[in-house]
Amino acid sequence: MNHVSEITKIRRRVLIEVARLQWENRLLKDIDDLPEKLVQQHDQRYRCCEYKEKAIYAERIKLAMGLTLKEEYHKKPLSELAKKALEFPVGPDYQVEVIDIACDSCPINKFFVSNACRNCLIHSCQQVCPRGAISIVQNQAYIDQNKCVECGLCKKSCRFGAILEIHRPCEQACGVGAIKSGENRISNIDHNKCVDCGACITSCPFGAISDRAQILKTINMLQTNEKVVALVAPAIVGQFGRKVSLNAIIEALQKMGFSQVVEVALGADLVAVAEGAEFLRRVPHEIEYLTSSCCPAFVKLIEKHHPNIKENMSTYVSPMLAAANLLKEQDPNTKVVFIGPCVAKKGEAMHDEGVDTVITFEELAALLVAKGINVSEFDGAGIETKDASALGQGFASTGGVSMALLNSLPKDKQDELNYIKAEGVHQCNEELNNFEKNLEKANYLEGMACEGGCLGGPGTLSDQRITSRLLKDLCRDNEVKQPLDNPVVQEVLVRHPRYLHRNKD
Amino acid sequence: MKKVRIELCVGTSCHMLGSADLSLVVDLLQQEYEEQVEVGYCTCLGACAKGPNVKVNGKVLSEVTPEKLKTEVVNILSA
Ligand code: FES
Repeated sequence: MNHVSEITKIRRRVLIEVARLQWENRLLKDIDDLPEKLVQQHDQRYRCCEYKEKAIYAERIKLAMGLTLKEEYHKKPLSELAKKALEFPVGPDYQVEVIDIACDSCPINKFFVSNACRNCLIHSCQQVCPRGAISIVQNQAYIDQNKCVECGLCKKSCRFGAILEIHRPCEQACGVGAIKSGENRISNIDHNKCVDCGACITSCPFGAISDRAQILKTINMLQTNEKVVALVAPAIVGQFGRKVSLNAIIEALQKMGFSQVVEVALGADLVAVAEGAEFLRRVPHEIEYLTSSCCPAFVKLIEKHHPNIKENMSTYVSPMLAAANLLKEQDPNTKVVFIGPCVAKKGEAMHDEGVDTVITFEELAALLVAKGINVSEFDGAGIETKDASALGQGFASTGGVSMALLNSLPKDKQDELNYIKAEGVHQCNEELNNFEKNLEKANYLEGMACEGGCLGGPGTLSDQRITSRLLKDLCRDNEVKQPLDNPVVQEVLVRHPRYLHRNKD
Repeated sequence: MKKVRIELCVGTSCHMLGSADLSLVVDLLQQEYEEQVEVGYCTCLGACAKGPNVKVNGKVLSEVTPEKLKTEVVNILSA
């Protein structure tokens, strides 16, 4: 469900306009006029007044320039902040932020009596309420919110289903309880808990949650560096519509200034084989089960919420870091831009020199549009993609990691792998709990923080019902099926370089 | 029999602003009105900033939403 809502359009227009100013080197000169321009562009009003809209645009512009929304940046002219942004500050570890003035402070009264209440004779709701919070007012049950403890018994007891449970969309989307309503009921993210999966970004109907973009630095590198490599996640297939092939996208990337385009799936091949060997080495002798470590939000979920089982996580880096470090090993002067569907990758890349910037597919599209490059006009003729195997490309979809791992094991060892997969932070959390309590018989857990895997990531442009079909076709047509058939894998794993390990010493 | 010719812009700018949602509506319209609705695709209609854009019987419509497109087509067919 990737319906492009009005909110999504607003976010994308901001990204396009900021990118345009940067491509044309007029960010400092013209950024102060941008909120006005954006408000005038569209006659539709979303907020109470133009001033509020402009203020919200200014916040979105800050994020698009890669700045956090911290207090000290409030009320500063955008041009002054742009100067800061052009120094490309690293910023805090977390990626997801609430735009306070855009948050609608959605009601937090969790239980609520609807008009379906018939003022029946048994008043079961009133009977079950442990706090005496329910009375009958004007022929309807009424919940005194000061007394209510949100236990939900009244809802369960009502035979008409007349009591509704209302959630804030962001709170409901969050799988780790990191969002609570704070001061003035504005949403507040607890960054000690947040794993940067980005589920709340897509859930908020007011577009009040977003992440910082790294588009300014990316454009700057493309303008000033000779060798900038685009490292594209396999989920890129179909992101520019069903009619635009992977090769066409690659051609467009080259046109935009990338000297080379490499599939991250190459790194997936490396990881699949290395992790397969790790599985055989460690399970069951050293640990009872192994978990994947390719999804950065899943890694954070374990580190922050299940620290007891950190030992069970694969010791290998993600496909992104494996591929990026391989590129830097070949030429240390290379700049690497990771392009994917993922918000959490932005944080992951901050701690490794392999990747210089991370942009999402959405941000990539903004860079292209701002530069006047129309991907649908390319056909990709003459471009060949031969970096990775079909199973490596399959990492993008839920279950793909397990499939690649299984097929990387020697035939006679394959029945030792008993895997289970979890998708979405809620499900990952549940499974991790089961593993922690020894309730799970499987000995391998594939964890993907987004539903559907990377194809369902917050930075995607296309509906995963379409992209999953296209990914299948891509894998089907790839002649190299197995990670082990990839010659680069053989070469690298013999050397087994240090950068393949999360803990580099 | 009245006919409608729809040309959907699938250029990058329009794609970013939601042309895939329109393509779903077009599929539905085609199912419903069959050969009365003829569909084509194009890569740019020259109004990128106002996307998504669609050409309906030769006229370019801008900032098209799924609802807007459906109403436009149904109106023409039932006029
Ligand atoms: S891309 Fe659709 S009008 Fe230009």
